[in-house]
Amino acid sequence: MIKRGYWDIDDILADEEPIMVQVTKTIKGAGFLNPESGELDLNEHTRFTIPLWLAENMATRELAKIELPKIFGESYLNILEADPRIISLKDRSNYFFEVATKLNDFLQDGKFITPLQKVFVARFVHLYNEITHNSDPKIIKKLTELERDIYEKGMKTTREFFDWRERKFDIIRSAQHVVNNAKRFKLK
Amino acid sequence: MENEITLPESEFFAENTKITIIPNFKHAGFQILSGFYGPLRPSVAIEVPLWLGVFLKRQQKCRIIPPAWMDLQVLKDKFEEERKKEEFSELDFYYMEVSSLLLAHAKEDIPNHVLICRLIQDLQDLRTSKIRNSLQKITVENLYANFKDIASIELQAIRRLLPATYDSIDYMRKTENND
Repeated sequence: MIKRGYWDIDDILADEEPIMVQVTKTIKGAGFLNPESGELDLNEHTRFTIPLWLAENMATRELAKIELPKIFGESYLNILEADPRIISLKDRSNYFFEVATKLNDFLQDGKFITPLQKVFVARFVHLYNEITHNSDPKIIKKLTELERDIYEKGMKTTREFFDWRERKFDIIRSAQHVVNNAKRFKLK
Repeated sequence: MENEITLPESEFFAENTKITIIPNFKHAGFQILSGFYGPLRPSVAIEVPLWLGVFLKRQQKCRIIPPAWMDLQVLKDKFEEERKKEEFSELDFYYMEVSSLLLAHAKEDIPNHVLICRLIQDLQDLRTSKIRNSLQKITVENLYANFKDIASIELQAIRRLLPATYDSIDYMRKTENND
């Protein structure tokens, strides 16, 4: 699930997603933020990518303007809505939904979040179908971090159910980390 | 993952349901946390927790009377009802756990246990496909499915997925309402 918190690793990683910004005021001595230009100052109207967290901070201080990433643009959304199931969202952003939520929260621009909810539900329904039919594990390549978490939980539950039905839990076995430890000691 | 209920744990809860046994030994009774069970007399039926019944059965100290729903005819009727109905039919909340335990440890006390085992599996498959079908129908506008009378085992199958999904959608919705 989408979480937000100072210590949440997924939240931190989602904040690292690159965002295109346009500088609105020349910032003296901040040229290092855009090493490509090779200049000392960050000039007005420069367009460059910085992590989301920095973009948000610059935008609140009115030093830069966030440009809505292409992946949330209308044409991309139209492709997504046409068939949400087969498109690889991982290629667009590993934290697609998280970034969308953050951007929506920040920009107060509700245009793209409503279709994305539809896409998320459609993809979940498809995912659940895949989980219960024990399908091709290649699907994992198309999933974002959020969906992969759901997929793995689902697969774990399915595996656990079959183990339970064959009563494999009746036999007491050593815990997995003990087995792994034993292997490690054998190698030495 | 540590704070989630696993299937063996769910079975552990199911072992608290009561079951009737016919002991073949004499004992003053058992004082355990859930109460006092006894006195036990040979061939006098008595109600005990399932785990105690299975424990005694494994030592050949009693005969287990299967619960009323674990009967071939009752299950056949349930199966028919399940097939005709759109929603779930009413079953024991722990029907899978109880039947699995009894079929594993007290086979000889259950008449037609082979058929019953198969019927329960068919019933479970039917109910699983019902969950699948109702989940296939959800959309953003109509997010919720009716899972009334869902049994423990089926609940376990979706409890890790659905809440996480709904939380994520709610989270996205919250930012939508800001503007």
